[in-house]
Amino acid sequence: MKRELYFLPLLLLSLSLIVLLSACKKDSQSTVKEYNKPSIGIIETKDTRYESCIHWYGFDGKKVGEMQLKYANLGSDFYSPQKIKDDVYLIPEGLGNQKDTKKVIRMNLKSLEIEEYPFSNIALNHTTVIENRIYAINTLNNATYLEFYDRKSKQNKHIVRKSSHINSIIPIDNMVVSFREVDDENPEKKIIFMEVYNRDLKLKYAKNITDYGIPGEDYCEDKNFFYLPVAFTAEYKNTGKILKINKKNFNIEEEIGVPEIKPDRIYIHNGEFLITDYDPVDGSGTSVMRLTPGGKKKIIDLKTSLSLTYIFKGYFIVANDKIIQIHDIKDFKLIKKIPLKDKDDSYTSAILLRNP
Amino acid sequence: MKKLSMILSLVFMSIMFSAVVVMADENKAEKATDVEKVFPKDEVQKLIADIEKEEVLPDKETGSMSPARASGSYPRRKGVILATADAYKGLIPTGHAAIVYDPQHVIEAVGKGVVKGGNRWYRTKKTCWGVTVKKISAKKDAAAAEWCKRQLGKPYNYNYFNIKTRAKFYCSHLVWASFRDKYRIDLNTSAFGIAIHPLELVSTSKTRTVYKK
Repeated sequence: MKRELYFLPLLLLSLSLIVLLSACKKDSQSTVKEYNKPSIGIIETKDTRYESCIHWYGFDGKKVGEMQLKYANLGSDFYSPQKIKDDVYLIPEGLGNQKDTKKVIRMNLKSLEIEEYPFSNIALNHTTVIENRIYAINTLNNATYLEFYDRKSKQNKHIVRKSSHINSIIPIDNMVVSFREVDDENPEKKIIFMEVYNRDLKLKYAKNITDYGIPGEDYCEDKNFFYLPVAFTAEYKNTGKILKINKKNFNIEEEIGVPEIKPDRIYIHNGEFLITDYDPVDGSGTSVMRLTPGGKKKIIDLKTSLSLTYIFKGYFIVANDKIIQIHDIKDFKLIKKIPLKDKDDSYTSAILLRNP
Repeated sequence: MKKLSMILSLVFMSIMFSAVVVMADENKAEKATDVEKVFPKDEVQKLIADIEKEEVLPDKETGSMSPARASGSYPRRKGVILATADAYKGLIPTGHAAIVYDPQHVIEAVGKGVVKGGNRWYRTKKTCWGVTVKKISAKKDAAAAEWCKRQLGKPYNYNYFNIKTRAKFYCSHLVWASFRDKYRIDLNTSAFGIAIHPLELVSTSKTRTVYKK
């Protein structure tokens, strides 16, 4: 009996701790969950610690909640997270000197629940999703591993592309389209391949697109075509163009010249292209180009670094380490500025949007 | 009584689990202590204070694939060395180094070995120095980056004093070895004995700073 009494305080202490921790967790999420209007989530992440935080803001600029996460380098301004219905997929790369997190995460924007999917390798650098399969790439040993995790079977499968580096993968009509760089004998020049895989990672189509340049990590699509921004030639000379590619046969139908800008993110809105002028390597670029189907161009300077952008209904949302700006998409008139707190050892890495 | 025994067993298991976690943490701490013995905190802080005074000078002329950049711009030229004084958990606790491979990629030794990653230091690091080795051409810098690329896949070198090995690398060891083996240029300094701290690549008189954040 004495031993039982000895354990009783310990038991109570453990239970209290569990209750306290659950309460804290609920508190950090419940405020945004209870907010019944659309809110903008800004991911602030760290390179040196497994710490990230999503700060949620209403469109009136008021903070409506925050959510702490134990991930390092969650998201990146090099690519927009893929959003499917209420789910958003992100890579937590891990610590900057280790790149050690072998996961892709899915966050449900309604429930704010997170599910983690395991991958075989570290240093994951891009992800995409087709139905129940999550695909991710990484480069080790000068070879790229293209791998998927099947949510239903809970199995992984990968293929290896030797002596190369895949920069990005995108989903086009249930196929995985990859852009692979191979170093030429002349190391000053890359050879670029567009390769198309089916859902089981069987290679279905490959085309040498070196002469078209190095595609960026973003894309947009309409019914028959997908569009890729290209900022550099294979020799890393500046170029500005959009590749228009047929979804059925993957032919490059047109090169739309936009030499006035370094195209980064691309959207189709009301039949027009909106293309950001931004360089993710040095964070430069503050303008958006509006390009009509007839080729008419208009460049609008939003006067803030376009690290992260997002389109929601009639709004064009911009975020960087210092500020969130909400613009009217019709004329890019500034509607709201939301200053962000000064960051010591973190940076903003993604925009999320919750629309309950 | 059965219930009580079950609860007691659960509590006991929790305590045992906590003890295992604490012991694991202690082991990690011991590893970190070893690294801190190689690179003592106060000496690293002194080094940081010294290199913060470094003046930013123009980069080399290139004329090749990397476009000319304004003085003080973030490095994207092949062969420029990147170093940070950011404080990490594990491995070298303060600092990391890499070499620019092309405008969009770097080669670096991370926890699982030598990898090619995105040139994303401008956004992700709180502090960053870009340095270039004096007295050699941009073409030779590029060749040093190629040397680093050939080491891709080699494991991480946890023995910070074993800089002779070329079978495994730690971050600053990799960058140092490329210039040492190709051009007999030794970027190591007298700090930390034979071990090479990432920030020694900045403090050495054999490099000059072309970018500072």
